[in-house]
Amino acid sequence: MQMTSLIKRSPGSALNRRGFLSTLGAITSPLIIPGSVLGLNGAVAPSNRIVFGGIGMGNRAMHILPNFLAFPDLHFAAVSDARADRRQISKTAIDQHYGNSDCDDLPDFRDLLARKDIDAVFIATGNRWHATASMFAAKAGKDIYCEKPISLTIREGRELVTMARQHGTIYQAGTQRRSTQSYQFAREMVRQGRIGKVHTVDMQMWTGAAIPHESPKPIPDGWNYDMWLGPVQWRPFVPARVNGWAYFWDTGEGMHTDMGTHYTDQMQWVLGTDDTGPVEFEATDLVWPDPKQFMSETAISGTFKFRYANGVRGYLYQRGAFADRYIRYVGDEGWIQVDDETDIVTAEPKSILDAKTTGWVSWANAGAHIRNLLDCIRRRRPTLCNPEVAHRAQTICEATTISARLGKKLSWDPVKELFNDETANRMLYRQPRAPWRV
Amino acid sequence: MKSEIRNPKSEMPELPQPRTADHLPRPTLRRSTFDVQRSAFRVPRSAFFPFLLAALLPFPALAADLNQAVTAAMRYESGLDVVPLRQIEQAVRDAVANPSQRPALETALIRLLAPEATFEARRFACMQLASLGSDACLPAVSDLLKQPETVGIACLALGTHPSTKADDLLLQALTAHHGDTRVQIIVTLGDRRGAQAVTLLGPLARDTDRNTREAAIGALGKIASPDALALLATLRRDANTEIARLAALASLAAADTAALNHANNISTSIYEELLASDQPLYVRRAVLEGLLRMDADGGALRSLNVLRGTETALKPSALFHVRTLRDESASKVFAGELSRLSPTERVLLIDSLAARNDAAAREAIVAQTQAPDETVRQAAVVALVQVGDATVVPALVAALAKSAPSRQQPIEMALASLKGGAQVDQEIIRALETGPAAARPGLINATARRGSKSAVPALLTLAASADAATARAAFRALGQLAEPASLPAMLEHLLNLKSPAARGEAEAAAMKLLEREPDSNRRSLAVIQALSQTKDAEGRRSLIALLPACGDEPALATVKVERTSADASLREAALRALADWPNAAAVDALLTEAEQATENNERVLALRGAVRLLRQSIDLPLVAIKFQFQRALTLARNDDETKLVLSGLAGVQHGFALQLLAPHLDNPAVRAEAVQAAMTLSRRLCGAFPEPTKAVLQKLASLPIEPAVKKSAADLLEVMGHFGDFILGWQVAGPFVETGKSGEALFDVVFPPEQKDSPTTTWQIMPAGRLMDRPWQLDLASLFGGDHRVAYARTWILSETAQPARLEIGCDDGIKVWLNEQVVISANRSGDVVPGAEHAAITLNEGYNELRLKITQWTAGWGFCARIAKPDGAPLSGLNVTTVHPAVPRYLGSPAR
Repeated sequence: MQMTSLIKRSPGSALNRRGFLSTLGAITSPLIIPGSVLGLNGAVAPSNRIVFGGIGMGNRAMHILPNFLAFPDLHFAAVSDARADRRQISKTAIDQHYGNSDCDDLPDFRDLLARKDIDAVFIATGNRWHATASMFAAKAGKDIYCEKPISLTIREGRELVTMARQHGTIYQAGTQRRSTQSYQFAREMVRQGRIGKVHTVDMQMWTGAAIPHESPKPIPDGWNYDMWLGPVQWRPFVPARVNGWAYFWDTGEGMHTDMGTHYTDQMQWVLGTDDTGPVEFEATDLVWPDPKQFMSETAISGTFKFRYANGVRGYLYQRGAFADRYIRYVGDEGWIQVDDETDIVTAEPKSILDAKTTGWVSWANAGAHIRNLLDCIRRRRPTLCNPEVAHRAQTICEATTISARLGKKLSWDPVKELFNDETANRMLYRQPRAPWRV
Repeated sequence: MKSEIRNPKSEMPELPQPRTADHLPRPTLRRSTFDVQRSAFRVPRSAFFPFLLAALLPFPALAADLNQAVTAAMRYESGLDVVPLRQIEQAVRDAVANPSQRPALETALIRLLAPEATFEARRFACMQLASLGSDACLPAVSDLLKQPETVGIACLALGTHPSTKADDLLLQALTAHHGDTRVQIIVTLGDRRGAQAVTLLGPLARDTDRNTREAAIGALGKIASPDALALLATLRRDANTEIARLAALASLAAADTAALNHANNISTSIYEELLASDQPLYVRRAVLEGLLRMDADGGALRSLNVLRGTETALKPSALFHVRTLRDESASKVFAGELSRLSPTERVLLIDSLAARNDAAAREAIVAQTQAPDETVRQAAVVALVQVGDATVVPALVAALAKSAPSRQQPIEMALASLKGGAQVDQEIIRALETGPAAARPGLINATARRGSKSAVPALLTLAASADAATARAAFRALGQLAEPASLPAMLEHLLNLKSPAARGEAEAAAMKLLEREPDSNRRSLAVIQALSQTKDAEGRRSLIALLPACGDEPALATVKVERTSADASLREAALRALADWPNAAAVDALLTEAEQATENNERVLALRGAVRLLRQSIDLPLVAIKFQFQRALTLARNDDETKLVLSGLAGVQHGFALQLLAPHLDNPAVRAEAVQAAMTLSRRLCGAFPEPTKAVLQKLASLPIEPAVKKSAADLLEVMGHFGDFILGWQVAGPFVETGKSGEALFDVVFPPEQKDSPTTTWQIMPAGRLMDRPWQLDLASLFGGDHRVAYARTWILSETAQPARLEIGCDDGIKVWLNEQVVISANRSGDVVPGAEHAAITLNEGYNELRLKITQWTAGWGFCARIAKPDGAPLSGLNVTTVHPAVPRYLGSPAR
């Protein structure tokens, strides 16, 4: 397939009120600032483009890559992945887009980070690598777009926040629903008080999978399994576990930790709690995989509950079919819901929807979110999903994961970022495998 | 495999062969709360129970069991079952709840660290000890530190260990290893902030191995003790530039830690040294930001100096920092710098001033809306959305008037989003009336976006403008804002347009008002009156086009009159209006038009309109629908038109549709469409109208059609063969929901179908045979979907005599059953469909007996099944079931069983 056919309409081409509100400062077109002003790692990119490299070029990366390539003020210069086939596929796609063969194929991402002409990185590895690769990139002076979840332990997330501050890193987490008009509309309606005082947030993502047992197998040609594992302590190569990494504690932590962060991020944004979080977490109704048949560790379904200090409650349901995802804000005068599959917004009273505009771009197009990063890189200002924001949203998922693993309701101090339980506090962190530690 | 795993939009990894929850059997153990999870378990339904118990019951955690689990776990390798591992995890949960169990648990975990245990078993034990391990486990973990291959998992257990004895173990092990094994120990010491490690780390910071150097220097930055800081200061000056670079980066972390600990002199010293050095730009920018955060004046003076300096690359950081300054005079001071900055830098400063949002900032931003540089003007406009109120409207109006139309949209958006409610609305209306003409279209658009209904009188005035842009914008806005009461005025404007170019917008606006008017009499009265007041053909055409939006008898009569007009253009407009008619009232007229048309294009238009209405028709008697379809089929003059009618038949909810299309299966020219319609109808009607369905499906088997379609037909026939004596013919209505109520609570909520022959309920035929493994189950989930809702089903049982019987129901979830308006079963419960799980002794009347069901949905699966048997449960013959209301003439009904 020609890459040109993958490139979607630039989100900037259809400015409307909601998009306008959400991209304050983005104005209508990319602001071209001389590289010397921007401090693009000391180098001036050709035609003032921000130069990107990709770390982790699997399915998700290839899905979102066209959104990057669509921006003329961005240039994609190099790819890195633990798998040679994925590097080759992504390089081919990028080269086809630019009509040359310049894209650098780098097996070790540290070589990509060492390139001084690269200003920023797009990280779409498996979840185990997100925080580590981000911290390596920050240390190398790169700005970052990283897929969610941003970390797999709470301490790691806090370290990322700290490190981004220490290094002045502009970082965008891939929780792109903040840049999506349906979600922006819902937020605006809630914040305008159209449903009264919010008391409950209901969220639903789909039922998780279970991975059957499988014996270790030889590592396929072209795979650097050691690099694939990265910060995860060594385990033998088992294809089902590698492909189903989302369903093991130290590589993915399950569906509610992975997809759930999209919804907890929305909840935090709408409630205005981006710099804090709930004070209580509990995981209930957990259905685990049958250990006789399945080796996966994470729950198939469950209800993850949290309570804020002001009494607002959140319920994240892991259940149902993929298409049944939603987030609903319930207030004392009504409710508003975004259907995540369709981006359709419903509300009660229905008059709330009168303010709705049309022509919205789905969350599946991350273009606006990437645009926000590019503008923030140029302006040296925090992104919509900056590390603090992303860390707080992810903390909710991590904390309920810990509650699930310990079978215990947990109290949380969002200032000190500590539980009321010493065992739980020791689960705030997992010692990574060397040398993958910044 | 669940399709979502491969959904290209999914942000999840691709799984080649995962076993998803869809492959799991459905638990029948249910918990009490309505949000209990019941995954989409659909296959297979045999041999559930062993699996179920394993999946849901708690694992044993007694000491003897734990020892057994550990013995089994010691042999664990990937590929074996993980029952013992899960038992140990349950023991961990038990120990968290009951600390007295911890020593025994830790002893068991220590046993799992023994050399004879597999690596994977020891890895698992270390993961548990990371959160539970006390000093008791340290000797065993220490043994793991001796072997390179187990150093990593040992560090996993030690990384979060609370005792400093863990540091001692790590320091002892440090000298015994090299390469990445040693690096593992170094980073663990750094993560533990072990200050006593500094002495050993010093030499390692200059090690020849790159990973070792990086780890050691990084650990010094994390430890940030006085010794570590001193060592880092030395390393920053190392002749080896790589070591110096790493030390500078580690110093950033150390300086940040010092700042957080209020050791500002230390951090300032480090930052200033790095800022003055030839470090890469990102390091210098980071230290500038660090210094700005620490400055006693909040960084005001330093920011100002950077802005007035020559280091352009650092200015964005300083400009962003302006928003954080606490000094009230900062806005004024920095606003004074605007004129000295480049346009790009001005944009950044405007952004920061907007974030400050004080009077001086607002004043400066308003002034910038008149800046010579367009980028700056736009930035100021955007900023005003953040800080402005009604007082900034004049500035935005001026900016609007000054901008070319192609550049006006951001300003319209700003006006639309400006805070200040009615005051802003009034200011905009004032500008509409008295402001510059060039700004009017943009201002009108802004009122529409604001939903400013108070602007309607002004907009009606502007709709009469001779300026096309103004009139068009005004009609667009009126379409959004005006209430139905403005309909006469709107129609008057439509008939007296000053700007002919605005006709399309005027018609669209009138249409929107008609859609908003709930009373059809008022709708048609307004349009018919307007028609009576004009002879202008163009105006009349516009009004005729609005008549379908009226949709009632007077409007239809008016269309028919216009169809006889002497003016051909009016006749054509009337035919188009008929073809666009919203309900079945126009079917007869359209088919008559098709019969009598002299022009082929008119005949086709009429036929298409009739079929469209017939396909969606729910407001015609069934007999009429059948008759009109027969008429339409006879009117079809060629294969394309026959195909059109066949596609319409596919939407019908009665078995006669199958009979009508059956002959067309023999016509090769239309066979493909006929087969498609036959399959669509068969899937829908197989339960309610089994006989015509079987006839058509059997016919498909004999036709030369696609093998895949033949197989589908054969499969459906096969499924129908297993319907047994279950009742498969049902009308259903739903879904019904009520905000905030669970499926359990909805059981007692009365929805319209609970009234006999509720006029507001739309019933449809329930498709049957969707579940291959239980063909007798009606699957509401696939029809209506969702959680916490209700559906109703009804059918009629024809009994030749009054007789006792037994009604057997299976339901997922709750069920209420009325027989001839009497409740005979009521069970507010959750659970799977189990035939006969709910039952009642009933008495059937002679003649028709209405059976009506309410089926609630809690979560996941949703469906039901029903049969009527003799009182002892034996099959009861002689009953006929029909989904056709007894009031409908019988010759249309096709009894089903």
